[in-house]
Amino acid sequence: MNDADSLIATLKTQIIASLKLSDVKPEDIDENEPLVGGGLGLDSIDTLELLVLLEKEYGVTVPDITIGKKVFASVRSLATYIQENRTKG
Amino acid sequence: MKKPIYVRSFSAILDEGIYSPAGFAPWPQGQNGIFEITREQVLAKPYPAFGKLCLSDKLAFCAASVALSHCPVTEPLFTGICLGLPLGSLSTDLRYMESVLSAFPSPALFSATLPSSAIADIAIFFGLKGENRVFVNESDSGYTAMENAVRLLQTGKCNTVAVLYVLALEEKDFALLGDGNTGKNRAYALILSTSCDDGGKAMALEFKSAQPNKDQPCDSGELYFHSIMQLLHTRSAGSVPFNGNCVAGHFSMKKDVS
Amino acid sequence: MSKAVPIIGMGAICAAGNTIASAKKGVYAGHDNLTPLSLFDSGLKIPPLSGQVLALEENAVGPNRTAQLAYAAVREALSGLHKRKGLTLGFVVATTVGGITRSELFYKAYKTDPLKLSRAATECAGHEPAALSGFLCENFDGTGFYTLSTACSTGLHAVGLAKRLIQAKAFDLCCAVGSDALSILTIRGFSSLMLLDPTGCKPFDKNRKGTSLGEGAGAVCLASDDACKLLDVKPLAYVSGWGASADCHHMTAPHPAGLGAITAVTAALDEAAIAPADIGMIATHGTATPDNDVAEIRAMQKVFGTVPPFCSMKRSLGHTLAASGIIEAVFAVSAMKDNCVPHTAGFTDLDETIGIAPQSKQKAGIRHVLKNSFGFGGNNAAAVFSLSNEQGL
Repeated sequence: MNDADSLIATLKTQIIASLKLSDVKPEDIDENEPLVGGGLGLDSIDTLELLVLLEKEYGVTVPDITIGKKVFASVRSLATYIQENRTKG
Repeated sequence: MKKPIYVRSFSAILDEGIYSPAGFAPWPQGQNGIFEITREQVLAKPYPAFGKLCLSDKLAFCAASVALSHCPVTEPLFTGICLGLPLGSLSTDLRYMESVLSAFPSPALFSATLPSSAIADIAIFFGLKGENRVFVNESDSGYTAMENAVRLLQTGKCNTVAVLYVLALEEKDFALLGDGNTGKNRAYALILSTSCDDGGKAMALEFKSAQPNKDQPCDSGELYFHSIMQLLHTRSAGSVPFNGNCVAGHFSMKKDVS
Repeated sequence: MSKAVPIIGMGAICAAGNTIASAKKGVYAGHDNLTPLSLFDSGLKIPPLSGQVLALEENAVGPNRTAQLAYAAVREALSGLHKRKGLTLGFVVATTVGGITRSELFYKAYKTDPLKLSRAATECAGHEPAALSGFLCENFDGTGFYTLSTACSTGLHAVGLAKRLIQAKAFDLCCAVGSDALSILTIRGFSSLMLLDPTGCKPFDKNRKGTSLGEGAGAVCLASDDACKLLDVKPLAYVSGWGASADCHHMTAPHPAGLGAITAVTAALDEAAIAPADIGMIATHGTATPDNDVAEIRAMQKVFGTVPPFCSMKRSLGHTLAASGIIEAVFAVSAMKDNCVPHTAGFTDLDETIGIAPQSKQKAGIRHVLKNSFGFGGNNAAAVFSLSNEQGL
């Protein structure tokens, strides 16, 4: 498992815990599928909750909504953004 | 002549289990009662956000789900919600303060600190678009919620109203309000309607207006809901009086229901 | 039976002033009354511009800030009623934070000193929202009270419930009160939801980025027709229509086409038995969040076709949450009586997506105003206030 894959696996667990997705298991999340507005039923408050997760666990901030849309496109894009910008974790 | 009002369905989620028109279902062995209530115990279809609800929102949602499962909504624009919330959102307020002090306040928790978040979840999930209102008052919020519901029906603003009463405190906060509150978590729902036309299956309780009797003291909200629930559960003849500021009458069991 | 219910007293305390008389000219002129948050440390790096009541008198009456603000507004609203002649007086009180400002201090202390837990029961009892209604009822000799909490639309809900309680003859006089103090909870909450514009809100402007919070209280005293005769008072104006609805869309975002708002406004116009064209001014909810302002105008276009002159007072007062519906209704009624549409502070550039701009007006000849309030959870309320009732009195 390379760094990216292991980060993706960690992120899935963290997303489930942070958003309290009690009916969802890590293997239910496809890292290439849209994160918000997709099968997980996530909405705008969930996006904000994920921003808190990024800042808390990785010291990563998202400057604006245009970048946010790219970052939250999928778990994979989220992992890539973290790898490029992380300051901790 | 004031319109008659019928109790179409009910639910009570208590320490011992769930009461509904289907009977009584005790909590399964090994479940920490109300605190570990699951979506499957109250609702047939999936609800991804269920796990995110704070305890008081969750209990309100569960009580409404159980009651509404026996009485589907036919006119969403004229279906309202009245909620009595004696403790407001106290436990969630405390969780949110913890989250603020941790330097990473949770946006989802903040929206749950609003007492009205409970009715928002219910309105959104069940599509109830009529007037809704939350009463926050430790002594008589259940009573004022009921009075308000009856008035919404009598004045024709709604033809169905889900009346809810929810008292919910997380276990770790029990000490905050004294030991007397341990095990008092509970949620009631009554579906009131101006029509009972559902193929003869209408619940037997009928509300009839009467002159207010100011000498007859009001029950607190909780006792009041409990008495109505017991009448419906045992199907015994009886009547529960109601004396509000502007609504008065009796909820009485009809004789012709087996 | 007359459907319009007389207003016989009004009061307001807010960032623009401690009384209606001292605040209204600034509100009409669209003064920017927001200042960097200085009442407490919210924990945010840059204190957001907020509508603070900086001159709340030192000897203010009440167990906490929300109660003190409410007391000041109710005192003003009831100032003309020295003798009640045995009439009953109800209170319908709207608040979202209640005594949270004290709870927050208490909570910090409790985290550092768990021994304080023993005092928790008494501390918390004074913080529940209903304690505010009880306090007002006791101090102003009321005969009954209700406490409502449906987020930002609560204030206007209180006006509607007070109207219905008068019509149901539950009380002879009924005071609708909305009060919310600024608190860490709401500042951090709106901030985490990215709904705050730290540089001050810009309602309906193309560069609007969010709202600004404020604090204050408003009070509107309604009376039955019989009570007006007995007290020999001339109504200031009337609450002629009221409506409410649920969006059923999202917890913190409005329905994009304002469907719930349309239902509430239409119900209010129907109850007032007037045509949309009779409305001379809309005092909008106008929070300056990107979603709210466009959804609100979409809804108004659907109801009115051509939207009447409209304003938002959020930059002058801050968003005072549960109090906003009543404080802004008080200034909308004052503006109607003073024959003007207030200037919308914070607005400079037209947003093409919205397509129309707020406009102030002198000698406006307004006979009916519409006040909107929309809250989290898609909870909507709207009220019509009129200069006279159906009989033209």
